[in-house]
Amino acid sequence: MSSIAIGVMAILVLLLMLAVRVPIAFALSAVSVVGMLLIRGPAAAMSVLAEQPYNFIAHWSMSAVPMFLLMGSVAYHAGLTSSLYRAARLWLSGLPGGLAVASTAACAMFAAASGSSVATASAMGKIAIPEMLKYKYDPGLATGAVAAAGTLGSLIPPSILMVLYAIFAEVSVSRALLAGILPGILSAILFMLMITIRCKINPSLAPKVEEEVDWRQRFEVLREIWPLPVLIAAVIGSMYIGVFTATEAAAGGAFMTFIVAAARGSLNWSVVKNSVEEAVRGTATILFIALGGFLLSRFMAVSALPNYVAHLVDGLNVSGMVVVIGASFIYIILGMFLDSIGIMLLTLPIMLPVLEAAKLDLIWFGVLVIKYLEIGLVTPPVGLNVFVIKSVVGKQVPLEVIFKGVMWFIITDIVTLAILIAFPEISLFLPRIMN
Amino acid sequence: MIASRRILDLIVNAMLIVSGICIVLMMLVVVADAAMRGLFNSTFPGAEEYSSNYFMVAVTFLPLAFVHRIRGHVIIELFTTRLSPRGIAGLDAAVGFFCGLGALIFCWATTGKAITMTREGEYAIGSILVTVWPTRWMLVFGIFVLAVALCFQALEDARVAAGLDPPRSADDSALTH
Repeated sequence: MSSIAIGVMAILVLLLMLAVRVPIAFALSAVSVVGMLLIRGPAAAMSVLAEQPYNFIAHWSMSAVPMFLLMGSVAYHAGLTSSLYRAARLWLSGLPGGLAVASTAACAMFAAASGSSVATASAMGKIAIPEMLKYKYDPGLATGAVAAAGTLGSLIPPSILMVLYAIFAEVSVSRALLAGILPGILSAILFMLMITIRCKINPSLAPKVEEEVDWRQRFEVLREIWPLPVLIAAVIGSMYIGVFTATEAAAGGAFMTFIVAAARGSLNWSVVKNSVEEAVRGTATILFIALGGFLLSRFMAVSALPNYVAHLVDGLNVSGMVVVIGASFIYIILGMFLDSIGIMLLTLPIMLPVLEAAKLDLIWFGVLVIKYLEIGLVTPPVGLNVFVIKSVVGKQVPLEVIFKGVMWFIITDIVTLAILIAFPEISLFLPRIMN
Repeated sequence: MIASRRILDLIVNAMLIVSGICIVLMMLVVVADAAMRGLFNSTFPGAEEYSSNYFMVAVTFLPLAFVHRIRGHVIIELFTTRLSPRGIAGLDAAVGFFCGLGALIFCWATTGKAITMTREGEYAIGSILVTVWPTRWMLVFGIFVLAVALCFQALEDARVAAGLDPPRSADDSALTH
């Protein structure tokens, strides 16, 4: 059997293993090592297993992952995120669909701080959805807004997915993170615009909230939430002006979050314990999967399958845009069934040589990949964020209503994607002018 | 069985505490290094080497058994939703033994490398020389305890599948997609 055929077989076996509940990290690693054994023999396979995992993990740029996770978990457990929804509500509830718009804005901020889409959907869902349902908002709109806006954390920095993408694509982590800012903000704005237009056209979706809010209340609430946007801006800003690397900015962000929490009197033993445990658990889970993805990329290189695919695509004489659109379909279909990190690490070893052959900008494509993965978090049948919201609302809102509500946001996401594909500068402007 | 589970839990918890200390130390060392560079045009001796070789390895590999204990490794549940709880336990038992065997092979491969590096006195060169061979053993230890935890939980799942124990509650289910 040729090495390319072994590569193809390995992908099929990998999908089969994932289907029978083999953890993603183990499935990626097992297929890669066995594949290398078949192509290069047992000595080479054991050598890869003995050396590569350590070399992959003991790497400076990887340290950004635990540091960003620590920053997010401290911000959450110390209550720095707790007033976000109230602040967004006081400022935005006057708009048509104001509570849903406020939920989207609060989700975007929370997601930026936590870096986790699932944590955002879970935390904001508990606060925002009951409030919207209380004011007789359409259940599909109420749940869909939080499920979809929760995914914004994958794009707005600090984003763990983006850090991993940058490491695998061998591009600057700081530049990749900066590239996500404008597309993330654009996604949030388009979500809010879509909600406002829909509610303006059909006011029964979101009855107007009758409450008196004065400017004093609006500015007072900003005093409670200001540390979080300032911290995020400081982390992004320090990378932007080139003072700190991504790892240093992340560690500084985590450190300052501890200081802010202590200054507010919300740092106690329980907060430290829960934050550290959550960060450590997240790091081990994510980096073990990343390690599997790394071994897969090594195996794919040995199998020569990615080069074969790149050669094949090159032979078709198609433009870069066709490659991007083709990739869009692959990612959106995989996003319906697989986990975000899994999809990224499964596809990049094959995709990267194709993109390089097509001379596409890898940072721009990274933004598109993360956007595809965001969409995957809410598409049926598996959309993880939808299930998180379902677990929050219980029997109050049926699953199909949530999926139906999310559809409007998926359509908006596709519009955002089309804009990002048509105007690469939206993603590349900030990395280009970065110091 | 219960006594063995308690001993395993103690070891797993101790590893979690060590990795928790390491993530905090990593934050402090990286911040100190950046601050010293900005303020005194100097560096924290060995910051990059300690962060990469010691703290990253500890934070990644030592909590793996804990993540497994809380069934936190990411799996795809979509295609097995129609199976009965016992059927799922049977499948998890088979997968657990398979993964445990894989982890033992991984452990064996890295042990050989750790022995070689220990004999050679492996070190990393930065602003100072940092001895890094002990971190090879962190990886070995983390994976070995993971292998034991995998086999242990597979055994428990096998008991559920055989009807000797009741199926686990929904709260114990894995982090799934």
